[in-house]
Amino acid sequence: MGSTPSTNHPSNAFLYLPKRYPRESTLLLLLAMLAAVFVITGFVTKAFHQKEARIARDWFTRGNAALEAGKSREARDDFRNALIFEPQNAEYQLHLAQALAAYGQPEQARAYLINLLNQSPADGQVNLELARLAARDDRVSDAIHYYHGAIYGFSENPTQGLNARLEFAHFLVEVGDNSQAEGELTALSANVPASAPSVHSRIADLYVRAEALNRALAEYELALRASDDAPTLAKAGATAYRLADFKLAEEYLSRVPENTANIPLKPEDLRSMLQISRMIIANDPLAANLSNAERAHRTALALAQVIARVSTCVARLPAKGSEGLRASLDRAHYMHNSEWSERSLLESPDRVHPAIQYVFDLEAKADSFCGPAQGMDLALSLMARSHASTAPATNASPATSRPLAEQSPSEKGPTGL
Amino acid sequence: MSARPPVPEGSADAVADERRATQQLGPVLKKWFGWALPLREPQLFMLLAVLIGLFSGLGVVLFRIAIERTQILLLGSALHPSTLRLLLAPTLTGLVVAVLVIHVFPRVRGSGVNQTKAAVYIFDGYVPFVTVIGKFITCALAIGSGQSLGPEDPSLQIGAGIASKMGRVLKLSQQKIRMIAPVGAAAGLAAAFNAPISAVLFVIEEVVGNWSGGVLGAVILSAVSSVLVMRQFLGTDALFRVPVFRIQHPTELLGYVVLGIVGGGASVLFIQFIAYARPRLRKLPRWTQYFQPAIAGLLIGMIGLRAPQVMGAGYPVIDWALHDQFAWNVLLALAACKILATVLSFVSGTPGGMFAPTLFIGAMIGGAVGGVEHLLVHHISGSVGTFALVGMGTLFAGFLRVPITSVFMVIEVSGSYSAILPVMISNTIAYLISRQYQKTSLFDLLARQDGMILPSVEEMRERRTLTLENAMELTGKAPTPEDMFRSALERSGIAGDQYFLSGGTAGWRVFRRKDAPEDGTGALGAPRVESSPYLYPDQSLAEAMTIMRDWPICPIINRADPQALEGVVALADILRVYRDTAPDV
Repeated sequence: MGSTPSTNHPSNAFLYLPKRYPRESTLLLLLAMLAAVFVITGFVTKAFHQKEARIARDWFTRGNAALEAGKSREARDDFRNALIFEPQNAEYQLHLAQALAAYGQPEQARAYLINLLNQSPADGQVNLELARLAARDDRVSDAIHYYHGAIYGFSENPTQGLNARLEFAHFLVEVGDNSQAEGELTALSANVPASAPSVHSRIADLYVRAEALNRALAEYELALRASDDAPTLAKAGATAYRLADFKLAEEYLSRVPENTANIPLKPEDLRSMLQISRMIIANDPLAANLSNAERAHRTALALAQVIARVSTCVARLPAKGSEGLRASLDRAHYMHNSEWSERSLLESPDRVHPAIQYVFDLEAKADSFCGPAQGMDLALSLMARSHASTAPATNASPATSRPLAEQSPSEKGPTGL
Repeated sequence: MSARPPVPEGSADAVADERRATQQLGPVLKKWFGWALPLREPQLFMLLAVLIGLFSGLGVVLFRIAIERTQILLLGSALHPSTLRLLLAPTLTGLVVAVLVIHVFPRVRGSGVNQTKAAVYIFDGYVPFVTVIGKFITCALAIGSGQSLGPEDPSLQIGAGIASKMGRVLKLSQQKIRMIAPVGAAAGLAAAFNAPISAVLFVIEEVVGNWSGGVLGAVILSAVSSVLVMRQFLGTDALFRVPVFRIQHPTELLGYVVLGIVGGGASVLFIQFIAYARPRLRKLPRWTQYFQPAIAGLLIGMIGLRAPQVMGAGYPVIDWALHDQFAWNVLLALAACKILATVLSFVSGTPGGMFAPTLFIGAMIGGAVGGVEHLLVHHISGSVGTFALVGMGTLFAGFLRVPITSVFMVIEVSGSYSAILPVMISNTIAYLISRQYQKTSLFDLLARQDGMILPSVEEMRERRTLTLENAMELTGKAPTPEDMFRSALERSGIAGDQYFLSGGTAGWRVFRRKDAPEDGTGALGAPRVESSPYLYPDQSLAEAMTIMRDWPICPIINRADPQALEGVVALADILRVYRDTAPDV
């Protein structure tokens, strides 16, 4: 039995194939080879891609380090090296664009960014980088377009969206479009949680730059609710001071610790603002809830103060050209000793308002003849402006008709903002 | 268990075995594959085209990886390698490549395009497989070490070699084996460029020279399958990404006219530089061939000290040019350096392709022209990158003389149609200038320098086809059909009344009387008349001769109105036209 070959041996059937169908058998063999080469190529390619990705990542890491160290040229070369191995990597392209922009090659940076934008038009970061380049080149409409794109692109990422909007508002302030900036800041403020005082503070800073002081003060107050931060206190105080809300200014400024770092205002300005605020609070004859005696006393003091300032000043002035000031001084002397003496004012409280208005007018006149007021005289000038802004327009003199925030720095006193 | 002893072929046992196998397997195969088995040659050819594409695609993927790995190994991963690497890597590798080319793989010299053409027209489609291996190794070494050459034309030859080997393994007919090399060539090129249309067009435009249906189908199949494989492993992205742009005003196209002129001029200079240097280096003593690639490598390394961008294929640098990364003067300098480096590499006999350097030089020249135009005219909408993209196609058209391929190549490598109009304008101008000032195309020139008389596809493409209209022009038109007929008979030298002309509803025919055959009893049967075929004026003379068979004259009728006789042509007229228009030899 064992010596007879099996007629059902499977090799018989497979020997039959190449004989009967030689080409088809070769084709099958080629298919098997193809499968083998396919698998080998798969392994080789995978290993190579991993190596490429590793090399690219190394260059990218080096580029980032260089960029952070301010070595933008090295960063540019490193990112380019990374892109040799992963030319389509959007992250590398974006960083290369940032390095190019930092190195002072905005056109080259823009080329990459435009390309990235074509690939994903709603990419927030790409839009933001393009907006920055446009802002740098004073292409305002392009910048606005890209900033809008960035804000829209970051809709899934609130933090980045918020920063983009802040940056946009900053740009608008820079180009003087305060009304649009105010709009952006208002939209932004509504979306910032109360637990983010630094953001509120930054929004307030931009409101200040956009001359929206009331909104700025409100934002500072929101920030201060979360954290009693010294720089924010200082800025809130200064803003209140500019708004002629001297009580609030005194409240915030008095809470600023001495010798605190990171305050964007000079310490002497802060001290001066605090001092002036306190003077105004202590000496304002038109303050509410004063007794008649106190009001008369403060008015008389104010009159004496302005007489002293103008007397000193006219002594230095030539007679010619200062006749009006001298006449006003003479009248002040006269009135101080007659109708506007402390006793007269106490007896006739209705004389207080004309008297103090005269003081304010004379201080204003003295400013134009004698230079900026100091100390108590400055306090009186600021009082004048503060009350003028709240008084009916018909009673306000031209010099005192503008709100404090709209006046020039020399007029405002030491706001420092 | 005892092993079965071998059965002698032809023995009774063997016959019995086969019969049993037929009994077991035959019905199964017949049931399931009976509709397909055995494969006929046309089916096999198409199936083979797909297989060739798949194998070529895999080959090209491995080839590209080999080049990149070699480059990382020899030059490092930075764009600016160290001085030592820059000088030593191409020099020492040049020595190794020279030894390999001279002693191991003598047929791997050159770019690969002419070698593939030679396989088709001279060697009956035969490309030794050792050439494939040699091309793979030597090109990977050369390009990876920084020689200014590209991987595309070698990929084309690798594809052709794979195809030729597979055709031989499958014992295809000689005719099919000759046709199979271009099929592999298209597959290799398509995978190298990730551009199937351009590869098909290039093979048709430059290698095959005609749109034969049999080859075209196989070429397309192989190109598509190879690209599929390549994309599977290397990704689906286009070779380059460029910003989309729109022409704002037609006058902007003038900028691309300028680019076409500059590109055409640069193409002529580039070809003439190679035409001048290559034969001179080949005339040098044989021992110098050991050192020519090394010296070229050293010189390229020295260029690389200042401009490392010109080393290797240079795709990343092209990408940077497309992204406006260089000033126009830098682009111009890079173009000049690349021309020098490529000529050095190529004429030294280093194996490698010309496609990538052509694209590089074109991109740099295009970018430079765009940069200058931007300086002069500020409101041009196309970026410098767009000019670089168009420049690639421009030099491709002017230098390689493949105008149609160049247009599609730009579209495919960029994945964008936005530059189609500028590309067409610029490429056409460059092509015309190149043809005007450089009569012989690069590939024909190289073939002639190598002593090969390959058919010039460009000449074939532009050869005038002679038609019956040419014959009619020569004879002049007689006023009436009868006059036309008489005149044709005279020109043919036929006398007598054996032929006559007659027109009917089916159209004009010439009739011929034939003697009636005997009916078997010795008596003649009734006389017979046979009618001639007819021709149309636009038919070629060669076609007319085939149709006329043994007819000395034939009527030419109008296609729209068969009853309108256009003329009567004589065989002698056709021969006269051929004689009068034959080129001087």
